[in-house]
Amino acid sequence: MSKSKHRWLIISIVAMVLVTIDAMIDGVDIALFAFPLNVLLALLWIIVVARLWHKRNTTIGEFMLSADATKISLGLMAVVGIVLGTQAEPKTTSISVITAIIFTLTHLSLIILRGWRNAKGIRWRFTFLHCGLWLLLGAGFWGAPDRSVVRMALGEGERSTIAYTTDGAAQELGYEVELCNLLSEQDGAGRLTKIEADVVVDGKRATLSVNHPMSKGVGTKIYIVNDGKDGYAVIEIINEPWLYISFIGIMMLLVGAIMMFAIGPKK
Amino acid sequence: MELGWNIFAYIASGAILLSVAGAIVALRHKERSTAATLLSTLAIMVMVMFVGMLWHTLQRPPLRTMGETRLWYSLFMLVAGTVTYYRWHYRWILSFSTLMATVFIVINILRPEIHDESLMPALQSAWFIPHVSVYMFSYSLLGCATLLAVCGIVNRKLEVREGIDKLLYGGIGLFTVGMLTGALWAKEAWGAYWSWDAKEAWAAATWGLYLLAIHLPARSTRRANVAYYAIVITAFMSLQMCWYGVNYLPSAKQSVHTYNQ
Repeated sequence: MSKSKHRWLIISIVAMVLVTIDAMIDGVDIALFAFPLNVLLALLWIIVVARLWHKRNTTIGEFMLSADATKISLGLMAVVGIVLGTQAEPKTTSISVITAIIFTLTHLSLIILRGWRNAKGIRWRFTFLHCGLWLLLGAGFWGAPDRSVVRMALGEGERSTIAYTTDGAAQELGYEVELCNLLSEQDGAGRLTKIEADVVVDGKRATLSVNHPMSKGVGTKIYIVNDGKDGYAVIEIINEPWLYISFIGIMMLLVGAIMMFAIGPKK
Repeated sequence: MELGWNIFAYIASGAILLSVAGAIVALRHKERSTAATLLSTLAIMVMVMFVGMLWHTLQRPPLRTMGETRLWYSLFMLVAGTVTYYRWHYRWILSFSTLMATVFIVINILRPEIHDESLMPALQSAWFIPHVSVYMFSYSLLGCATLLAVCGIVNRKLEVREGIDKLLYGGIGLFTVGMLTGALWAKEAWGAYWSWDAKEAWAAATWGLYLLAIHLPARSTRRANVAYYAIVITAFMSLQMCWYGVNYLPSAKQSVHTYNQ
């Protein structure tokens, strides 16, 4: 059997094992990997990547830098998208999805290192596109366990310092949220056309509406998420400490994408 | 009398006639024809005029319903075809872009959507027009690339790889911009850049397939080229799922991207 066929056989077996595991378990509880465990694991992974880069002339190193690894990474992205896109409740924390993301991130890291090492000058487009994706994917993956979402329902004039997780567990916010005024408008068919909530959060006044959340502290944004027809505003507080890394990744990728459109393929 | 979808059939027919004339002139000239470019540009201007009128009548950008997105798609097909013809001188490209634009125009004539006067709150955003516009333009470029890929499969002697690569780089660049502006918008509207919603998942699948195509090394073998064409065509099918096919899947019931219900 040729080296290439041998390689694809191993990949097929690994894929089948992962799919079998996913069929047996519901998925990984990512909350277990919240800070500081996720940061420690990310550091450990960076050491593995550095080790792979150092050993890039070995079989595994060569494979992780090969065109086959690129095909697998991008093919996995497509497969994961198709599978999640057809599931009524996407299993984003399945072992297969996690493995696909770690594989892609590892391959991407090595490709970036090789790209920089072999470059004669600064490869701006390559750097913006690949580093942007690396930051975006990395922050989304390693930062996911630190993301928290809590909600509270308030009527006009009501205030509270307690919000609830999606599991219904009460959580003390450490500050007060007050709903001063709620405006909800519908068209003739009863469809929502406008929703605005005047709130005071930790002594600071703001108007919440769709597309206009309120920022509070590092990585925290406050939203209104219901239609307000019943006289109550459902306030959602999302804390995402890795938000800024994702944002930098998006900006870099945006610049790279515009360069891709403007420059086109290089011969 | 309000000028809107009620006069679309007449105006679109004029645009199609101009575009068909441009395509015929292009087919008859070996070199790039100024007359063909002019006729195609006139067809675009007629469509732009209709979009402007519809925008004015609706008192909002016509970018909300499936019918309106098909309108933009037919417009940008004509734009992409004309730009491609002007830039790379493929004399048959205007025929294909006219055909594809006509298909979407005819669908809009035969099945006009019901349009609301007001937008739902999630769509009341500065991100709305750039997000949808760049998507529409990317769909047009990627649609042209797909047509070339089909030609490449049907006719072995045609050298279309270079042309497809150019269209793909443009199309994927804009598709990426569309995805990222959508992510920035989603963070403001729903609190997450990316939530693996059904539409987002199909967008990721489409992106992955197109990136796979441009990462395939150019080889002169017939087998390698056919694999490349097949991926480009598959990616375009995935794009159709992302655009409207996803609405027919059970996963769409949970989707925040369903605006017509």
